[in-house]
Amino acid sequence: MRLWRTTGLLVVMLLGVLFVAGCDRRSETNSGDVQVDVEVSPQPLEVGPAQVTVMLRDANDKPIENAAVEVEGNMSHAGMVPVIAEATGGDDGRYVTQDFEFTMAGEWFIIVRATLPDGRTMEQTFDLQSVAGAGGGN
Amino acid sequence: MATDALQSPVEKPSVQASNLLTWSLLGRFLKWKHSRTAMQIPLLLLAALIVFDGFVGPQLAPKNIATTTAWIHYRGLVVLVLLVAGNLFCMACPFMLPRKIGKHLARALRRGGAGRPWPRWLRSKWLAVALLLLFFWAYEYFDFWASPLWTAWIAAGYFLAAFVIDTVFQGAAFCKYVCPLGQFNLVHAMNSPLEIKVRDHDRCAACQTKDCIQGRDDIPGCELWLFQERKVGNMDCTFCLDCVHACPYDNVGLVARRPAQELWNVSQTRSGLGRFDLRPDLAALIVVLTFGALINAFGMVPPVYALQRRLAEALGTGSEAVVLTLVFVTGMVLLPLGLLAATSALSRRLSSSCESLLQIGTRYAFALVPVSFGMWTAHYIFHFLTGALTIVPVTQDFLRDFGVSWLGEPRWGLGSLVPSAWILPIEMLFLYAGILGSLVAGLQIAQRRYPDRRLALRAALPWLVLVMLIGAASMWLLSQPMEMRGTFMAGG
Repeated sequence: MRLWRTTGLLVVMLLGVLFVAGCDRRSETNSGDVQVDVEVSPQPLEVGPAQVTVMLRDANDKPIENAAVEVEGNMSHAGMVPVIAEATGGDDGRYVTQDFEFTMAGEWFIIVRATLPDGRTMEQTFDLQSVAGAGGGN
Repeated sequence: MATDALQSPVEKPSVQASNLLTWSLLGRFLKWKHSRTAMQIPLLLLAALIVFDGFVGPQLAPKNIATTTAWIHYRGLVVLVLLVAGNLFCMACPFMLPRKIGKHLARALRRGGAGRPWPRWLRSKWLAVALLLLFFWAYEYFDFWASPLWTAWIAAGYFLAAFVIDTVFQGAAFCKYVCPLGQFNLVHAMNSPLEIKVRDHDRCAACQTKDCIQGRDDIPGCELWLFQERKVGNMDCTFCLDCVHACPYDNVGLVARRPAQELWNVSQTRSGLGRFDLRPDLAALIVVLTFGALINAFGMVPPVYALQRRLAEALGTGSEAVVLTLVFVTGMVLLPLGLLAATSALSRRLSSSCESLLQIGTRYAFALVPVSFGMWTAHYIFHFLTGALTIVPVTQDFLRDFGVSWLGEPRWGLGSLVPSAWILPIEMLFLYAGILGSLVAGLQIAQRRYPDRRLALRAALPWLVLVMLIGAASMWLLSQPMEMRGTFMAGG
């Protein structure tokens, strides 16, 4: 009886593993026909205020205007509060953040989220160079 | 079985109050046969969630439940719980549940026969020391904290290792000889204010059956081979409560005590452990944990990056593995060995002792346990205090991906538990307490060795200086601006 119970539990565990294998909640989405580029200034990257410029182009290399763009800066370590800023403008497909800031030295990545004029949404992640402490020197 | 002549011990009210098993609700719960399983199930579900999200969730550490709970909450809470109570995480360890299934399975297959004995040549902490060193190295090299996938693999690997080892071998071999997380808890629980111990030794002396170690009916005796009658302190005790449940006289309690006092008498013979001062493997474990605390924090402050670059240039290599190994071998093997040898030699000279350096180093290494705990607590508490609330948006995001939206939009602005100005003073408080504890332990160890107070002070002096040096290095590290880096060689 105990052997059956134990075997049953092992089967349940195996089913759990198969369930895990069948799921995926990774959220990065880009239809592939939108080209996203990111520039961050000032360089080299340093703790403090910074400006993130997002450039959106379609498959024909034509600037995408009138998109809603959000930039999220985050770090490679868990437990960090992200910096989220709206990127505005859109002339020539260039969207610029106004109040973005690197709050700690270390490794950062940037997530660009955009709602395109045709209603499609996209999200893309960019790894940045290391951000130095205030005053640089690292 | 028990003789009828023996009854439950009657304690003085003050002693009874310090025994948590006499508290009405808590005591009743802990004495319940299935209390450990009841505590393990929630952590098992959490571990399953870590494995699940680590494998299938976003591979961005701050957005994933695996990395957030394992590296922020688990580590922060484990040191806090050790500080205010005891080894409760081993008590509720979820890795033990599948292992329990393995034990049942093995027993059924062997038709009740016992498993294999753990190999004699592995019956020490040396394997655990090697695994801890490997874990600390791999933590930096593979950036465990930045990788949900690695975090999931570690959790899954733990389940598998505990299952296989304890299915094949007798007792709790995985906990006692292998588990690196467990070794951290077992060593630092020596600083804890609670201990599982006998309430009345006369009662034990009259007991014929010794169920606390032999087990009775379906209840196992201590699987870490700690015989309650001669058990001293928390080392190697996983707080599994088997002895509490097995004792037919209700003679084992969960009792309040003076933290770290068990470190003072290193010449005392302890059940399942022998004498601390004859266990260089245990001393090595403590030293690795102590210097591991420094190296682990050193990996996150700016000077380490300059050092790496210089080392890489000097060696003419771009290999992170080579530079990291060099830093680790120096910081966790050569430096501690050199410091301990020099301190032992000085102590021997000042006390005119004729003992070997190994004997002296082994004895006083136990004094480092509080400062090690102080530094680990300061470091882990930094991450916990700065990031504890990030679990809220991470959970909201997780549930939203599965269509559960009643928790609302993720509140990504949540993070810190306290104002940032409080964090350094709180870290320093834990570190100072650790330094103080180590100074007291060093003096007490010496006083038990040398009844002459002046001689004891002379013998202890180099160790007190070593504790102050470790404390000063820790203070310097904590005062550095912390950098969250995913790669050790970053920042070129």
